[in-house]
Amino acid sequence: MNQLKQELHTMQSEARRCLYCVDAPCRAACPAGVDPSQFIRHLRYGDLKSAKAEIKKANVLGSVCGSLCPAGELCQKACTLNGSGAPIRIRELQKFCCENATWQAPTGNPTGKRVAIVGGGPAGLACAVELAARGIATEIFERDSALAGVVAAEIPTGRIDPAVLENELRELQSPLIAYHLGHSVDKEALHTLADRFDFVFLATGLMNDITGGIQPNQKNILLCSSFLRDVKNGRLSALSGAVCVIGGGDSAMDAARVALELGADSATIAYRRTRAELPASGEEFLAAAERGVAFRYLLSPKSAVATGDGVTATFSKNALTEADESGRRGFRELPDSDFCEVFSTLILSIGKKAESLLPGEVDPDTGRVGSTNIFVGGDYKNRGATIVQAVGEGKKAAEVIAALL
Amino acid sequence: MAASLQTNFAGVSMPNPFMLSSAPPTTNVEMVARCFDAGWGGAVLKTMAWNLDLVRNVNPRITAVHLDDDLLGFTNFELGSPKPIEKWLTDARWLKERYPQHGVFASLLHTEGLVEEQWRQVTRMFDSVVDGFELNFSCSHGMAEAGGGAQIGTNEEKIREVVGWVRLETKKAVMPKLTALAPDIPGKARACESAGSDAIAAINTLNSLPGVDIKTFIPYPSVDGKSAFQGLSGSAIKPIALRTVAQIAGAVSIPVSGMGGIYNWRDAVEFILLGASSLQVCSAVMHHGYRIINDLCAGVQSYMEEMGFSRIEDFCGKSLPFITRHNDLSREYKLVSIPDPSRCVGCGRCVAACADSAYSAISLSEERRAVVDLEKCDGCGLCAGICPVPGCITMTTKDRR
Repeated sequence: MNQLKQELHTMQSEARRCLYCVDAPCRAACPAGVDPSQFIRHLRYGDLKSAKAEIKKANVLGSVCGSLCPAGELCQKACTLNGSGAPIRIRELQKFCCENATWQAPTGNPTGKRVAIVGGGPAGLACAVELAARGIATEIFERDSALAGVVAAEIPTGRIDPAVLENELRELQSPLIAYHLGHSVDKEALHTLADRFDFVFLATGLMNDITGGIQPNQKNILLCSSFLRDVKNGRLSALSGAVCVIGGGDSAMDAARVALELGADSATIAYRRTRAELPASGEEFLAAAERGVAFRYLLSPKSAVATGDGVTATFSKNALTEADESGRRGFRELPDSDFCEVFSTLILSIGKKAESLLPGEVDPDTGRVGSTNIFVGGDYKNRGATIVQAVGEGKKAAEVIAALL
Repeated sequence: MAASLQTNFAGVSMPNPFMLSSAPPTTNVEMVARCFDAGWGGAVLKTMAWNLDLVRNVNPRITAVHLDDDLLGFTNFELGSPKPIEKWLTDARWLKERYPQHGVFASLLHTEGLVEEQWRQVTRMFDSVVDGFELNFSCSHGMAEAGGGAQIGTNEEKIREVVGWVRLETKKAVMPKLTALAPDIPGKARACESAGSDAIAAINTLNSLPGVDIKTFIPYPSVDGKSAFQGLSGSAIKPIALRTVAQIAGAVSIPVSGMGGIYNWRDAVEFILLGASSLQVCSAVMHHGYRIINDLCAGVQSYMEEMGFSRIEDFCGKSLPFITRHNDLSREYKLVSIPDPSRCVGCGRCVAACADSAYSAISLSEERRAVVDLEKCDGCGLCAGICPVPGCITMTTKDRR
């Protein structure tokens, strides 16, 4: 109790720094539309319950995002105080509010309408909770044995406390939301759902790892998502030798850090471009670097062959090319630059893709597929972004669906 | 030329104008001796009472008043000293023998009924011992309930009566301490002066309640389940104290001992500029101890040297000519708000304040910078006051912008 009081005092001191900007640029920067200027004020005056309600109103995974949001690239990047010092530690305040107050997802008066949700990750959950609040019943079809997608299955426990996730999922329960775990949906099943339900929201995430032409062997040439899953569920608990992770996203940072935690002598991230182009959030990059992960840039994997106890990987060296329209620089392979190197384990974190289940074009704004009763959202729609982005898309789909019902 | 803080206040000479006020910091003479050693110029001893049954204190009796993490002041319902007057006499003699260069005032307060003989007797007892007498006409709690303190200070007839009694018995400095709660402060000050006072002290704490425990409904502090009104002191009352000191200094020609929220040298200089020639401190000492005297003296001295003042009298009351009746203030003086785009951080507090409490004259540009519509701006100054960036918004005359 005393510790909570002390922590509250620390959080309130931080909250008092908030300038309470009239246009709340932090809110505009949140893909889920959380308004920090409001919840921070509730916190400042000790009303944690209202603070949490304000967060959850916009982001039903406020607690998870309090741990995982790349806030330095979203709300905290937009904070006015960046101009004159350090931004408000919004994510930390959000996490504190969510973890120290009670809230339960609201359930509206049942309308008799039903929506099928394929994928119980952040987008699917957000959609279901929004619809339940409007009295619309949903059934979630999740291929894994747990909800929350990559948050539950892949993101290391060092970044997301399983108890925090479990508690947040409990808050999202509603009599209008039914779950079918371990239930995959293929193209045919999708059509059946579209017939049986008023609407379908498809948010499966990205299920298939991109291998870059390298054949994984489940021994020492591993797919990043499988690797992280195996570590999280305890099937893999030790590594040794020199581990190489190929890729530059948050998952690659996770994999490299986890490899060191499992006992690897070293962990090296090999990335095609340079530090400036790394897709990982600055915070995850720093965490990996601080943990002792080595970074090698301008390297493309060409092939990998298991040899004895190790893996011989062939790389080519790259050079950066001019920036494209988005301002991001590309790369080209330098001729005759191939070289080999031996690692104990190679982890492929090149990216993920989804297999298309869709019978039409997706409206980029609403996520509606043609004129069907199918909507898409989350990583499946945006090809891999943040959890908070997925929540925002799930909400958006729920709003559009509710308006059509 | 070095500035000197040496003070002669109503005939009492002190090494500097800073005195401890009659309050917990002057609970006993051993403490006062330590304060003199620390560098204080004088002290008003804790108020003495005849009837010790009437000065039995409660627990707790001091409450800190906060705004967020900052301490705005204290409330207290501590009473006069529970020590017998005879004991104070011995102690004051001991103190004055050891510290002849410092100013020591006894503080007198009546506790039950206006008894002339009590006032005169205690004055006689201390006349040969102390440098002067502070007459507590301003205690806002406890003693006021018993008919003393502020009950006297708000009544000119009673003021004149009591000052007259004390005056009959001493040629030492007689200094009534007034309360800001009285209506017509100049009238009260003139009553003090006409009855023969040598100086006036102001202000005392202001009757108040520091807050309420919203779960138990008991106002702070709970004394075994009940509370009572208390005297508020500290930074929270400084603006009221400045006003009162200025009113007194403007009304009489006897010197003023100013107090009420003096926390630092800047506060001290403000009180002097408004006419105080000695300064009394309590809350800041309750907060930080006697040691603050170092920065108080050093700060005032640096200020004096910077401004070219060699003595306190050189700037005492220098701000008084700049106070006039509100009715006499210029109506031709027109200002507009000018935010500095190079300093503006774009928080838009001024936008919200102006829209919801003023003239809707400010908006945020696309670059998130405050922009003032000079046609709408009425020069009220609210935006400059609430802007979080020092010096960002200036109020400028219309023709000089």
